[in-house]
Amino acid sequence: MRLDKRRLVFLLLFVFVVVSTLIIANRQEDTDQYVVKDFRVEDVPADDGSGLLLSWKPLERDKRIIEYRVYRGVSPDKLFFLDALPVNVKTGVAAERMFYYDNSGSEFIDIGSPRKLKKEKQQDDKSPLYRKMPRNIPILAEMAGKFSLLSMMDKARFYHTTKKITLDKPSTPGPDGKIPDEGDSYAGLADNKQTVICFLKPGEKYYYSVVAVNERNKFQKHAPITEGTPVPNPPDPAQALYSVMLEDSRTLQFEWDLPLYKDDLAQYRIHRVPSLPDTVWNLLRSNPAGLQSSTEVIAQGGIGYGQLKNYTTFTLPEAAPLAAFTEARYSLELIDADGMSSFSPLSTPKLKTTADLPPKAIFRTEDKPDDKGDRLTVVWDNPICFVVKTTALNPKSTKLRVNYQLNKTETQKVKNIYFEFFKMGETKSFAKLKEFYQDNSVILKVPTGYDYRKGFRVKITLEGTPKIPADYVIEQDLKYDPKMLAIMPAKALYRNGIDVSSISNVVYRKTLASPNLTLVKRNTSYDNNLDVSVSYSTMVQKPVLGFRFVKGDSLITILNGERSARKVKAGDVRTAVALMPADIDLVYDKKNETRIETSIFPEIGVKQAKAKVEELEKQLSELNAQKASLSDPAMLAGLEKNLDRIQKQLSAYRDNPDLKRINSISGRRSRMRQIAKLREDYSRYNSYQVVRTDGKGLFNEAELLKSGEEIDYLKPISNWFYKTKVITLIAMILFCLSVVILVGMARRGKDLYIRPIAGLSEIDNAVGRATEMGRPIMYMMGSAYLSDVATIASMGILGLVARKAAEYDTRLIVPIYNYITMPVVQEIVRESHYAVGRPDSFDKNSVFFLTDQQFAYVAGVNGIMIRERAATCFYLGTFAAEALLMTETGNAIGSVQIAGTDSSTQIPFFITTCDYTLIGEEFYAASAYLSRQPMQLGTLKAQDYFKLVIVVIVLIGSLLSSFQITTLNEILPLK
Amino acid sequence: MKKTIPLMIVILGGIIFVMYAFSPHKILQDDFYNKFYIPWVYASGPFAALLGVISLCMMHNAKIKRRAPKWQYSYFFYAGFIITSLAGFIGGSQKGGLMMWIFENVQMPMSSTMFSLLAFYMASAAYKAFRARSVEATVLLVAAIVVMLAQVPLGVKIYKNLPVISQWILDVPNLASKRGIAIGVGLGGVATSLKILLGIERSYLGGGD
Repeated sequence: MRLDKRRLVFLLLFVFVVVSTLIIANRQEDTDQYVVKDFRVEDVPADDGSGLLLSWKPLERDKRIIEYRVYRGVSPDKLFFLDALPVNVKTGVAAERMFYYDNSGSEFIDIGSPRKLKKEKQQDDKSPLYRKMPRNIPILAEMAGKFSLLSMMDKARFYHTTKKITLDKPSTPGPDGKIPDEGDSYAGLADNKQTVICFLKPGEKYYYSVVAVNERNKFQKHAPITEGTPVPNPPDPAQALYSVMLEDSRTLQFEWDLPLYKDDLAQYRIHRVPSLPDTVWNLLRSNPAGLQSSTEVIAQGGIGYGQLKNYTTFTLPEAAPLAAFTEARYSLELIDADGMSSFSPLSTPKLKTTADLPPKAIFRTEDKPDDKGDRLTVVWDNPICFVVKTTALNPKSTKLRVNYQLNKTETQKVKNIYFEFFKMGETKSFAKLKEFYQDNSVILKVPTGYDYRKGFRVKITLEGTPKIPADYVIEQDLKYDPKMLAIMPAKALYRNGIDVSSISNVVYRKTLASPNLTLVKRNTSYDNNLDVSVSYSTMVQKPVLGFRFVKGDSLITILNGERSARKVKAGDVRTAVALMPADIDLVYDKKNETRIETSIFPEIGVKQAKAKVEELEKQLSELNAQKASLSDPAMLAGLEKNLDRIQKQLSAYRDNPDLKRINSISGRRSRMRQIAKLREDYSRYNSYQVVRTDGKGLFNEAELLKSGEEIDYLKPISNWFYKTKVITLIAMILFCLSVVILVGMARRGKDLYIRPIAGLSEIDNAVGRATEMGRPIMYMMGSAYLSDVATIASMGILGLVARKAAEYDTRLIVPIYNYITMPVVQEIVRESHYAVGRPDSFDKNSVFFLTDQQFAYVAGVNGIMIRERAATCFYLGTFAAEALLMTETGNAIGSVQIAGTDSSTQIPFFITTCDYTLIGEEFYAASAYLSRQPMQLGTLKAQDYFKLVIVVIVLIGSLLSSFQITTLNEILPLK
Repeated sequence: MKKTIPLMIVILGGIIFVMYAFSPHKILQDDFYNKFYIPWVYASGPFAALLGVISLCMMHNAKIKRRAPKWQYSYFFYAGFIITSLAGFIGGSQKGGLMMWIFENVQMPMSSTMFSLLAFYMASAAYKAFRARSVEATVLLVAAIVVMLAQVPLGVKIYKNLPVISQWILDVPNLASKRGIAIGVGLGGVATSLKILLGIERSYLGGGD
């Protein structure tokens, strides 16, 4: 097309219109910016003063907003990106207001943060908005005082990479009145080796803004900068307190539900309150300070931020009349870490006896088999089997599929499940089913004439190892559900005649070093075990106490909010570092019930141990001196307790062999290796407890597992072999043996017959045809990765095809789908050319990466196919939807096409459109078939024999299963 | 030497992966696989991608130089490559950026166009497959008609048990043959892996021996 004057004018006019439209649209948009309205920053109620709640009115859907970006700063002139809230651009936000809670840790130092202070995108110089807080310690150190900081790092980083930062010798005396020889030492770590999380501090001021971003990535104007200050608040009262009086044992049992926010709850107290109307109590409890005198505290303990037990008991004093406690009412006071508290509504005790308690759980803890040593299993019951649903198999519902679920551990084997079905109200069963192969469903034939909507009762018994008691029976009622239009199990689950559906099995954990038990999980009665994760230590968390960095020729240290500076001296660490305590727990001294700590720096560790012993000895002698002057038995008892504790600590720090051994090692790396071994090992020992409860005060606590007086602690073991893969291993060994034998036979010259495979026999002809026609050959290897067996098998065939093509001097084009495969394929083709003495004919550009986008690859291949008029096309590898698109094109241009794949869904397409197709295993046999090497043929033959073995096993298995003998099925792995 | 060392690496890697498959131990599952192998895969990926991009550029460059048939299209490759790269590097790859715009408004429609062609190709392939020229092809045709009719309401109108027959065809003869192929593929895969592991299969090293 010639560009004459008329066309040029038209083109310029067109460009002018387009450019003007874009400029006008852009300006229009600039004047029509959308600012988030009614932006508020408020304190989060009932928290510990570390949270602020941000809220705003979202923009309308037609503004096409894709996200709201939240910015925070400690001064109004610099707000850093905090978080983004994505919005569905099509639906917008349906709610009146959007909320964002800034009450959990946010990134302070992160590897993804910019190195320098960077303005947010599309912001002018006056804008206070910046990207994330920069990963730059001198800048961050100035803001650090406004946050509580926590560093998280890979354990190896803390053990080995941290630098020893020793402060200058102080000029003022310490608490003991002496000036120390040197300043305190800290562990210093550079910003690129850790992630530091920051939390808001109560009473500090923070500034926020929100920016809406539309789908064109256009940042709108920010909302007015609004300040907020988090303050600690009294906790919410407990959602409920349940009290039960066990009359026969004169024990009060209390159980409670904690409020939603429990992260700062430290303690509880149970108050006995005179019988009061709820209205009066509600008035009284709004003024907790005035309440203390009118109530009596009968129990108290720790809550551990919601992790400890949510129940307690109180045994009545012997002389106390029962009525004084049964007629009283009770309230739970929750006290947070700041000492603020709230009272629950009053609870009236229910009168029960110990016979009403759920039976105590008999449990055991076992190592989970076939794992890497990070899980234990707590088992508290026999295997549990129950019906989950039923499905009618015909319109008249005379035949039902009953789906069941079997919950058991890996070590529990269930051989048979027996289902007995009863008509409602009858005691004689109408169907007995033996489930010898557990596929989670049985077929039930409804008796003729019985209206299935009346429902059934099912009785389930089990047979297995470890031996399941014969009287262990599970029963369920199956009732017609009009909403589901099907027979469904009722809520009740009867275990030996008792409905256990409302009973929970709560698992608690006790670590070696802690006196408390912490909650692991509440389980229903449908579970009989719980897998508990006991992970390996990978990270270390430490509070960040300060920073040290060099600015100009000054060494600046900011520690606990105090700033000091001096000239840089030789030997100073010049890298900017965050400072954290260098202490680490070493081991738990079981004998002395003391957790021993040491420093990660050897010389400090030695000094610390020595100083600790001296300090404890001093404390001990002081207390012994006090003891002589005390006469009050209560105070004496308290002192004795204290003495015992200090004596134990002293013994631990003076005599513990591990500490002695560690402190005798002077090299940091080898010492830390030993420390890591000790601390990571002891921290993985746990003991468990199962508590059965109805959640409303009727609970029964099982004892911790003990050997004599000692609590049993268990550590998971890392297994070396998957026991479930024994058969797979045997099969692999047998297969290897058969390969070795048949390869040996082939080498000795035995003629191994291989059936002719047409597709492979035709490869020579196909290459020859391309040579005669003077057109190229195309070879497509599929879309799988290099690690895929099909790709490797395809490479084997490619080597042989490339050799033939090189011999006949025919061009071979190999468009590659996966770039990792490309260099390998190039090498194969190059080697093939060299092998036949034609290195000159190798063209590297004939083997090239095309694209890894499925349909773009098709477009590329089809284009090359048509342009080059390929005479022969090979499709050997793993293919998906692209297969047919390529082969049809090849067909249209009259290519000879040979395909081979392991993708069963593509085989039909290849068969219909290609001249020859290698189906499944034939594809893998191609390399052996073409090379005819004895080693390869031996493998192929072994493969055939092994297939015969599989067929025989399948037949035997089918036969045995028909006679309800499932041993073979059970020993063969499922996958 | 040129082949022995790669072969030794492959065999050693293969043995480690066999151990990985049979052992749940922390050393293999965590220390080897998660902490060593996976990071190396991620680290080597970009270099391989770079090789791929260089190869593609060289191929198109050669085409332009040689004035190969339809060489002009190679300029489109360079244009697309440069524009998309610049859009990504300058504007970022997040939603709302130019690169995502190109992806959503250029690549996606073109991919959808290619995919939609599949329907026509399928019809053409089906025509070839279902021509009742032999007993086998006739069986195939009948089975296909039954399965296809059972998928639409009209099939149930014609005969109420058609879905049951269709499901039987899919569950019994179809599944049996698929499983037969799957067993063959599985064994072939194991055999190929074993051949590589034992150093019998070396053609992937090039040259076929």
